Amino acid sequence: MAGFTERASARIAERLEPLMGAAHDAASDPPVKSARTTVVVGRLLGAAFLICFGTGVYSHLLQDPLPWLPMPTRPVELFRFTQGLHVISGTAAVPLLLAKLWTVYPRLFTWPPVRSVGHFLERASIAVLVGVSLVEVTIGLMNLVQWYAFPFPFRATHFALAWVLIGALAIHLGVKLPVIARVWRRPRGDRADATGRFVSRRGFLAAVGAAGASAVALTAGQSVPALAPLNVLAPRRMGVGPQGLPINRTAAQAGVTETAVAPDWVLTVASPAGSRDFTLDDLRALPQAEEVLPIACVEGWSQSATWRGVRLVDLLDAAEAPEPSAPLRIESLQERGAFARTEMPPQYARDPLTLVALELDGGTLDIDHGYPARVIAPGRPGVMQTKWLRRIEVTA
Amino acid sequence: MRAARTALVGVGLGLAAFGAFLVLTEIAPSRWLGIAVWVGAAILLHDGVVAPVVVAVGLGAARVRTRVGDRGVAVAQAALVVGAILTAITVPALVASMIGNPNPTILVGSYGVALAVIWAVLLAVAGIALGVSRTTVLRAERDARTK
Repeated sequence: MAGFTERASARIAERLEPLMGAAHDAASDPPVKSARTTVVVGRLLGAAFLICFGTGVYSHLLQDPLPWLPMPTRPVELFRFTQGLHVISGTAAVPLLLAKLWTVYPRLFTWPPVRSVGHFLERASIAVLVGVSLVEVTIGLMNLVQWYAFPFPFRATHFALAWVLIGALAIHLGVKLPVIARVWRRPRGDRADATGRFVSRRGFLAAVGAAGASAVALTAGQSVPALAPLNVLAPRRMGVGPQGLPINRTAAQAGVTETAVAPDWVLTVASPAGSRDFTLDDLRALPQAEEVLPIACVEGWSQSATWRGVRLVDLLDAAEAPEPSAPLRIESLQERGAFARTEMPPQYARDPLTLVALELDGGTLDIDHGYPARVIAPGRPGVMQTKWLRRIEVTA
Repeated sequence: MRAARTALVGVGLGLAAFGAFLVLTEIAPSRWLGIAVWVGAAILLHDGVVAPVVVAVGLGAARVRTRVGDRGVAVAQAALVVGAILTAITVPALVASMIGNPNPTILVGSYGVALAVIWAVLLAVAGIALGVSRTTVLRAERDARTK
């Protein structure tokens, strides 16, 4: 039996080795698919992934705050900036990732496939890095268009795999550090514009640069006003939506088309001191304030708008609620969905810029924007800017 | 060097372990197989389909380079890369547009039309570059013969 399996593996290896060799030679392009090109592209890809990771963790901390880590309320456009950057970097990572893999593809056909335990672990870590990178970028792009075709929840998976990706990236850098250091010392005879079989090195880098630049230029306009005229490929467009502002979830999708316009609607403000109901007329009778604050969606699009309504601090005063020192509980008329109930950390609740908005850009709030009343606070993700308010509770 | 390598691998193992911990604690066990299948399928799809196609295109380019000229082939390749990347990042929008979304403020672009225009421009650029490049090569060959 032992003899049979030995002979069988020898036969398989005999057949496979020339095939792998041929594949390796076909994919190889030594001067261009070199360690130097890999390092040049890898550096940019690493930067893109680190930006995605940092901004992604920031977004998660805003959505699930740690009790001991207060999140900043200024600048008011901070989350708009970080999340726009997250999606832009992720988009730019598509050509960089494919370019990086192009430069190392011949290594897939290394023979023998595994030389030692260390070599096996290195290849396994690269498999994880490659697979997870491709999945992260793919499901990120799919989430932007709300195409949930994957058999797992987006947010938890995108977040967990991001840690795996950054960990595998650090391992990869540790393993490859000698190669990277060698390239940084610029070995002699390694020309910047080496001519390969398929393409010259400069030609390759220029193509990848053009692809990355055009991908960003044609999509970033959903969050960067200066690029809005070029935005033909992004899912959202500035100025397109009710009252000229996009929305994440319509009133119909949230199932509030009737409850939001019910004549007996009231906003309940509860606190340990008691509870008070405000009708829409009550809210309009309170002192009104106007603020320019952005709606910045976790999906990357964002737009600034002028909101008018009651400052949350004034509303809590009118309800004789104590100054909040713990997160507020905010409830929407929306029955289902992860954001039907949200918590607002006290620093946002005490912020004078935080409004219970009744108007948007000079008109009554459209039902899709949260009529009769919605929260708008500085520096928070759009999903936390609760629409169709029903109840605000100050907890002790 | 050794200290830096050890530190990077150590930190990497820690971060990846935390990621694995998140998968195990924050995601229902019934979803784990789906994640593994997607990661495995991504590798197979890249290494087995995307990369070989790109290699084949490169081999084709290598064959015509001497006849057409380096510059023209390089511009055509770059046009192909730009077109392929722009198509790849727009596929989700195309598919999601076909599925439809009750929210009228998402998927507001005409993605098929935009891609058609982009490809038309890129093919024109590639065609012109190849034409100019081929003419230059032919002229150089003629000059070499007449001298």
